[in-house]
Amino acid sequence: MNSKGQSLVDFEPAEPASTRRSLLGAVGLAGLVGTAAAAVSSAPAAAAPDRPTDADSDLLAAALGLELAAVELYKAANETLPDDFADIAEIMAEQHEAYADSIAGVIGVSSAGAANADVVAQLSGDFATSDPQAFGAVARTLENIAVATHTELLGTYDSVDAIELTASILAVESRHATVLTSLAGFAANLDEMLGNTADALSLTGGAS
Amino acid sequence: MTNPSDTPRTPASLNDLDARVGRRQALKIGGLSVSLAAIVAACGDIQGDTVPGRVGNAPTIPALPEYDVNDAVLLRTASSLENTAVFVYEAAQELGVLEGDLATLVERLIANHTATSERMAALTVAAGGTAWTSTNPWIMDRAIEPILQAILAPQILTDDNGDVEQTERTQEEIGLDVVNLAITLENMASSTHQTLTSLLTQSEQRLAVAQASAEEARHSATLVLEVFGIARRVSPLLVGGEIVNANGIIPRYAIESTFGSVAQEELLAGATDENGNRASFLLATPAANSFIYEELDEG
Repeated sequence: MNSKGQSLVDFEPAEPASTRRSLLGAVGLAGLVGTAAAAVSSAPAAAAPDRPTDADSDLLAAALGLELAAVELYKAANETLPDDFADIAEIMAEQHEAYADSIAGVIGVSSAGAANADVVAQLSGDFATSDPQAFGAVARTLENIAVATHTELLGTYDSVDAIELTASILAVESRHATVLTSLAGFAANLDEMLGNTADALSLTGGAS
Repeated sequence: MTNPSDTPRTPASLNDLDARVGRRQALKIGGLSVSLAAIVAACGDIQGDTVPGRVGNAPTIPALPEYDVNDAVLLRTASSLENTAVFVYEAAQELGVLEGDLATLVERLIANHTATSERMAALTVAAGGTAWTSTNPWIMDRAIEPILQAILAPQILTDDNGDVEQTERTQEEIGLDVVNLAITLENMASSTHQTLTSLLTQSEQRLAVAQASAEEARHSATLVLEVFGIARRVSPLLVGGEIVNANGIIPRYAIESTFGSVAQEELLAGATDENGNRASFLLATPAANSFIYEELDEG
């Protein structure tokens, strides 16, 4: 059966996997270097607390900032994309908002006004596009980074709540990434559709 | 003369009944009551059997052994699911229902599941267990094999005259069912790994299953987009719509929920019956009955 995605004829991938690391450098997110994500948790889950520890809460707050940044970016795209694609941006915004609300609920904070300002500042120009394919390219990059970040954070969490919530988020964000990769014109590229070579953001904890 | 016995008898009233309980009867009733009270009092401290009642001479049910569910068991179970997915894809290849880009995709999915199975096997050994290298017998026996049988079975219809008509399914029909099975299986595998993230005790193990969950979610979404196209990007349920079965088949979407679901999934497969219905199967993430316990041998 043939791919039902967009034609790849004469399409030069605007953002192949190998450039995602450079994107991270370009957007200045590498400045958010932290040590918490490197400190791998070895707490047995059976003895793990249900509620987030203080360390978990700090990292969840950083994840919250990333999710809220995604909400802002998708809302911006929703304003500029043609109708059918604006609907996709709207759904993505709603889902990321649900993740933000859930994270905020788990750590007991308000999610209002806590978006990661660096992520928003560096990607908002690319998200505010009327070109669906360009939107797909930048949005899939964001989703892949989000999946990589949540996955790395998951290895550092001690609490069951943090682990379960994060696992349920990254499973669907992976689907986002696949759908957006197809929209970006890579439907026939199985490395891009099925894989994720994005680097995780290094988060120090706390949303900026 | 009138014989007294011929006098018509009228029903006795309650007052009449009281009147007819004579002293002798009162003594009898009183004695019986005292005797029963004595028996009840004597039996008051006897405890009833707490086990469920049994009828007949059936043998006593032996106590079932309790097996540990530890990291090794969970990782062996994860391997078994990966191997089950490989089995299904290889079965589809043998059926010859995969063509073109879909065939290429399935080759890649087999490679990915094989690699994940090997990763889970390595983690199993690191956790002190024995790697599991074959399919999950419980899921194979109770889900995969019946589903494949239903998919391959001919359509059997009875007409108005009672005549039975048997029609072999086309390759396209079989292929569509196999794809829906694959999507459902990928969803279940992703859900299983998602569940394992909070059950495994070591960070390395949790990271491995989280990555597997994410990858298998991509598998599912890619299969949907490859076979059904961009119209199946997002479930209508997420935008206030509803899902309507098409031709007795549950339509699948690349994005079906906001959070990763760990609920069981229904698969409708096989030929339709007289009413246009297909066989229904429920696939769920592994539980106590489908774990690959350390006591279970592959031999």
